[in-house]
Amino acid sequence: MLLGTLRFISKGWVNDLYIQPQTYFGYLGFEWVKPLPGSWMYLPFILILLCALGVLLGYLYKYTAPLLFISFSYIELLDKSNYLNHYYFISLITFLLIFLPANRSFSLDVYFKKCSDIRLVPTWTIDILKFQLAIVYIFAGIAKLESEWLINAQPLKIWLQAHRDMPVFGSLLKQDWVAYLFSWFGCIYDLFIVFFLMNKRTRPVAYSLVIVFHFVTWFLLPIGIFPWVMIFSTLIFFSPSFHEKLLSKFNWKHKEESIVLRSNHRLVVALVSIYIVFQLFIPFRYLLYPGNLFWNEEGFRFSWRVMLMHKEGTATFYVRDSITKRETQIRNSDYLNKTQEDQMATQPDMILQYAQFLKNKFKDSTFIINNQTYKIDNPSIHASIFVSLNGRPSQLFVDKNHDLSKISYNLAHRNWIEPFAEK
Amino acid sequence: MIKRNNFYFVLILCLISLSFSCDKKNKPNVVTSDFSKTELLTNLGENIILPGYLNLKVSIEDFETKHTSFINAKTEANFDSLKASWKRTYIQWNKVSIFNFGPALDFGLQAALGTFPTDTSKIISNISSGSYNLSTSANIPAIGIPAFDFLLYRANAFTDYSSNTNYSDYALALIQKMKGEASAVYNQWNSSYLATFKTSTGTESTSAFSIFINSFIKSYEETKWTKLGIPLGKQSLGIQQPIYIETRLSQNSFDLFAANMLAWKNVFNGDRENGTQGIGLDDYLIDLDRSNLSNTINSTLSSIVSDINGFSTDFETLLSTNENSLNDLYTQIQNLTVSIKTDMTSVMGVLITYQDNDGD
Repeated sequence: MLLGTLRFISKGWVNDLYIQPQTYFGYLGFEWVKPLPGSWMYLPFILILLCALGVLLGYLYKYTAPLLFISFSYIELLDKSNYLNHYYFISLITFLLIFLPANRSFSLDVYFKKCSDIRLVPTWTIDILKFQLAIVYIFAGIAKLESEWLINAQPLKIWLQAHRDMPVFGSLLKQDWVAYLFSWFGCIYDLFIVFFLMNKRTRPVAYSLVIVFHFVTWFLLPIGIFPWVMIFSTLIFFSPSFHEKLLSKFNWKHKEESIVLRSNHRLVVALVSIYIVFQLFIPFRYLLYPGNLFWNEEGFRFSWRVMLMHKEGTATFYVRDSITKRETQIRNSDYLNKTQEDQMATQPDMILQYAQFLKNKFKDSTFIINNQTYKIDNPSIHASIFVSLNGRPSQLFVDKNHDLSKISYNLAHRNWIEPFAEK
Repeated sequence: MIKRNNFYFVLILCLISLSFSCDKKNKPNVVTSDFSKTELLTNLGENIILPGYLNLKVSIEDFETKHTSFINAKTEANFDSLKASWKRTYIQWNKVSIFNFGPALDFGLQAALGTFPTDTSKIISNISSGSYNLSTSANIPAIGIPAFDFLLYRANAFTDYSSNTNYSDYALALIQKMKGEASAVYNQWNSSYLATFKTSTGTESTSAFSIFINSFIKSYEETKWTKLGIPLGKQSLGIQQPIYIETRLSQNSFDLFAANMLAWKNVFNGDRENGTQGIGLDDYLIDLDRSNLSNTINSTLSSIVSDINGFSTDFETLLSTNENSLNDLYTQIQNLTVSIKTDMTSVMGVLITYQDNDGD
């Protein structure tokens, strides 16, 4: 996290993504989360750096762990244009860490005698992390069990052929059968790797597969630090003795006076169960909606649908004066940054949010054209949007006849999205 | 022991997945394709972009020569050849303005050479004061090729250019600034950037291929807005804004527009100006089994160019007499945006973005 945040800051993304934009695409129910003014936005990032260091070293854990979760999640809640499954994963893990005694051994807190060394922890504290990882993998695997991935080998076909000029592997990567191989292997890997990691006998093999798999994805796909996150977090599946052996290389051993932490309190059991139920339910909520999931994206996020589709869109917005019916075409780049523009063009909820933004921007506004003044009282917002899914020819996504500013943003099924036609 | 297990495990998984994939699709497509991005970029860089910048540099040098000739002999004939040289330069600029990345972006060529509409009062005040710093951002609308639409075509242009030294000095200062910038961009392409450009074929958004595609599409959209949409009123409640017409005084806008669209089409096809064909994005689409898309793009572009060439009056006259013909043209260009921005990029797997991201 430390490295990820440093990378984020050094690439200037704080400025590009959280200071420059004129509008932010908040999450439903969290639209009140707003960015700090100007350079103050660096503050949460610095907090993440400090807290990540604190959690890593187990220093002032009582404060650094919750602050880490809060500052990271705050940033993620600001704008869903930047949503990534692995950011969500990090949010969840940092949330769990607040309640776990991760500072109670091999930490500065113990070293400074802020708390006593623990030899044994309740099993749930380890198992909940294993569970979280299992959720990520298995749901990512389940998400791949559909015809697009398995029968059409999409979107991997598109992504792999783009490497056609790579030395040695290029000529292989543009072959269709390689895309099929990767798709099927990826699916099987995601579905079963956790079980092989849990079994002591297959663990070494499985872990080497973890390394190979994530290294390949890092090499071929634009997925940032995610491979490294997974490679290191799957170490949790190894036995305590393995970790203690590893730590003994640093001349570390449990203190003489180390204690055993027991807490299988009913409350803990209840809370953990609730968390588990939520995690199991959320990825399946898409079943509540009709239509094509990839097209409508109803129940798509927070479901470990990782690198699962390639969607491109062209969205042309119009602000129409309701009285004169005069119309102005919007240049999206005047109001949105590139990431926002790309994400918005294919995601229904963002389309509605952008329409609201335009409505507010142009309501009661005045145009001065050729020295004449034109006032717009109550504009309607229209859009003509075409989207291509996984390399198919583009189709109409949103028809121009809807006034998007009148459609409310909620979790109900969106019937203003044109139905997806398999071609 | 572990190693062997590992090997078998991978092997079995591979076999399983292979057998499944064979089951599901009748015949996996094992066609070895010939298209390579390296060849595309090499063709573009060596045969289109570099010669294009060289031509621009040569045009501006010729423009300077014609300026000097006119100053030495202030005849109508020399003024006309100065005007003709300016137009050639402007047309040449429209052929390379497509490549707004790399050296062109570093030197801010787009702003320095191609900003319009011109701020005529700024030009007048610069000339009358006789002292100016042309590199300030405030002066961007008072410099570049478009400024000469005013300097060469305003009322009394001949008299002012020939008798007012401040006026002709200003013109020369603009020409020399442009010459410096065009040479700088050419030199950078020639000395180092071409080599970088040819080999950077990756999928990351910082690769030359991604940068080229993004800039290529952006240039198409810029043309749509600046050469047609804005004067036509697409951003102003449908109310025409003739002050935004490119070369409003000399009435060359359709020639520039057509030259730009034709050049764009040539780049798409990888063809040189003299008609020699080369590897282009059309070949990539054909390789990806999307020759239909390539044909649509080509036929629409041809139709756009022939429509522009078919207008028998200048832009401003057409605005007032037959706005519909311009609206039809706009619709054609707008519809093609979807094909190039969405259909083309989605099969090529290029991210339409200007920044690297953290991925998923």
